[in-house]
Amino acid sequence: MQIPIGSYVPGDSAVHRADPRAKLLVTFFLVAALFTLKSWYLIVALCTVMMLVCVIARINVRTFLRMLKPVLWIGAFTLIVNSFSFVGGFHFILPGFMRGMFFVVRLFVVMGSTALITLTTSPVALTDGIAIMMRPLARLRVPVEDVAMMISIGIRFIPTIAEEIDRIILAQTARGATFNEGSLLKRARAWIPVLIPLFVGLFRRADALARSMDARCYTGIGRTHLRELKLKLSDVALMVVSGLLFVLIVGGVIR
Amino acid sequence: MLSFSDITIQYTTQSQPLLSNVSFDVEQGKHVVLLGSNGSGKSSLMLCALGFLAPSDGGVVADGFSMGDAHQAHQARRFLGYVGQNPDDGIVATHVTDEVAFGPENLGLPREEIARRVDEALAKVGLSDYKNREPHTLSGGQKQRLVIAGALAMHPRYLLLDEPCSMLDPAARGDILALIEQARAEGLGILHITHDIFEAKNADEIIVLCGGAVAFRGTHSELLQHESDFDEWGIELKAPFVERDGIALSETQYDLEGVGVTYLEGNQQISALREASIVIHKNEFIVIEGQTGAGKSTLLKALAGLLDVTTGAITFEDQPFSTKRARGAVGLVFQNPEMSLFGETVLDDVAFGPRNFGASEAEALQAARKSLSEVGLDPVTFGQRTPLKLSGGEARKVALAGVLAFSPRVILADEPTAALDASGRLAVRRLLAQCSRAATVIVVTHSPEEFVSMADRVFHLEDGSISEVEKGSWKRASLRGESN
Repeated sequence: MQIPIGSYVPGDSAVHRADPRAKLLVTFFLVAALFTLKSWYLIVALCTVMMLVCVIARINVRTFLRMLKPVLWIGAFTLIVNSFSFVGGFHFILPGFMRGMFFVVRLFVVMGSTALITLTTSPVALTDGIAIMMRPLARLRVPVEDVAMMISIGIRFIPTIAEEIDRIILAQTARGATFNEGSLLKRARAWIPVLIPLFVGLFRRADALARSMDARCYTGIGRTHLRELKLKLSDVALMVVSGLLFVLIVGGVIR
Repeated sequence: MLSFSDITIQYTTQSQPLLSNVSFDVEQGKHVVLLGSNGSGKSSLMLCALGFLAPSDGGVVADGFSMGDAHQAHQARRFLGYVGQNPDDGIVATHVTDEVAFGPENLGLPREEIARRVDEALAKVGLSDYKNREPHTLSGGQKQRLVIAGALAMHPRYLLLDEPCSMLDPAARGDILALIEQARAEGLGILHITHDIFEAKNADEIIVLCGGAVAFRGTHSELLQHESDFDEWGIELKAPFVERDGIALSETQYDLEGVGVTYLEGNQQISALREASIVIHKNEFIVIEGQTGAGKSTLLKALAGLLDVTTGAITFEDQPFSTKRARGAVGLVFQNPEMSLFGETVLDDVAFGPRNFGASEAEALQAARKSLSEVGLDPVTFGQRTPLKLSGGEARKVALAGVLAFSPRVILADEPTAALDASGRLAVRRLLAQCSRAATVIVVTHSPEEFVSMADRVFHLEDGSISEVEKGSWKRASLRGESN
């Protein structure tokens, strides 16, 4: 079974080694800046930067393009709708095509840059980064530690649950269940024998997991951490430079 | 000292108490085994020891902390290491190092100390080379060792183990038992729950629970002198001989010719099955023995028509085999089959198969009633219960009935007795012997001693290669686990 979150490609490039917080912040600046852009020059420049990062991270072109697949249809649709007109007969309009391209390229840069994060950052580092960036929210009584723990447990159980679904499907198939025959309603009903044991199993697991966490004194309060993220000079430089560029773009100094 | 005094557990006032006035102590440096069948109350005692269940009467005191008090129990859990039955349910983190660090992090220890303890604990359980792995890529035995490392990293004074080996194959079980010995030698007190007398071999004290009370306490050699009581206590020393009528074998059920299965894992080509050439006759009882990773599940799926073979061919009842031909003809009982029960009632669940294979509602229910009686469950009263609230042995029987209900001509069973207690195992063995009158039975297992007495032939599977072994080479009534 394909696991969508398993898109992480381990490596040891500068991009891989950068602090997850720095990567998240730079991506945030990039995406926010994209939506204030009006000129083609800057978009082409950002595209180039993204491609450069890809090369530094030694990400396979095909792997990268696969990450863009989900928005491919949206992109194609946008382009077609913008490029043709039915007013006064069916014909192609160049300004419309350019406008469509402008949307599509921006969409791909947004998708591509977020894909770059998941491709070069392990899920553990990513949750650590998100948890630390969320820490100020603890003042507003958001249970940041618990949320981070929930995300991490969620990721931990993806392969276990995928395995379990596979096993239940096989077991029910062996008892004659079919999943791709008949009407939509019939197909939906066919999943009941998979979903019920799956959920029963999940509740049982949740109980056992809670016991295991309780037994190891988890309270969510007063924990220390083995992994401490330390910002390197390069991470700080990266954040400052991208922040500066962001301000200049939004402020209209660079156009 | 971990002392249990006068523990009584009674869920409702009318019912028979689950446990009454059970008292014993676990001292540091001692290995105490609680032996008993399913439902003997041993797991409830474990929950009391951790402070997760308050007994109706009596209490547990751990080095001066009363486990009945929530605050004191939390304090005491700092020095109680707990290891559950299924490691998949006990692992919290996505990374081996993080998993071991979880406990020490909760204790609020400084970072250097956590790092030191992680290294130390992983070295103790022999997983130092797996520091950067993700837990789901480990084998069952390695996962259980990881759970033990997670407990040891908290530097506990006691280890509480709830059936730590029941999901493991013999080799992994040996590893875990060795770890327990090592922990005892280092001065930890060990409370170890099991239904397998083999695991109690080196214990300082064995306590047998039966009928809600302590039926025996003493050493392993003293216990062996009470063999006549074992049936009553639910202890199985040898796999009892199960009678099976021999049937003349003539017709061919399966004919495998050079069957191979390979698949890609990452960029590596893995051969799960190589050049398997065997003939299996109708009504034959076959045992296929092999350790975890030998290719057992691949072979089973091939025989069940659930995967396409890469090379060679399978002939089934003189015709080429396919998923379509397997439908309804081959019944597959997966490991822990009760995990796929779903029906509103037991009867409804058992009727699922016949319904899928085209029986009318009345026929399906009729078949379900018949197969429930065959497995020894009353179709009228038991058939109305919910399948989600059954004991391990009952659920296993229902799952078997669910396969028997569509009268398959072949029954494939993967570890059919795994994680059952003595009486449950015996019941399943008898059932399979009975099934072989009407069907070809193929059992895949890592502990073949249990089935050798009933088998016509025994095959050995290793590294994807299958070969027939002399049946006599398995000691018929060997002590379980002695073969490794």
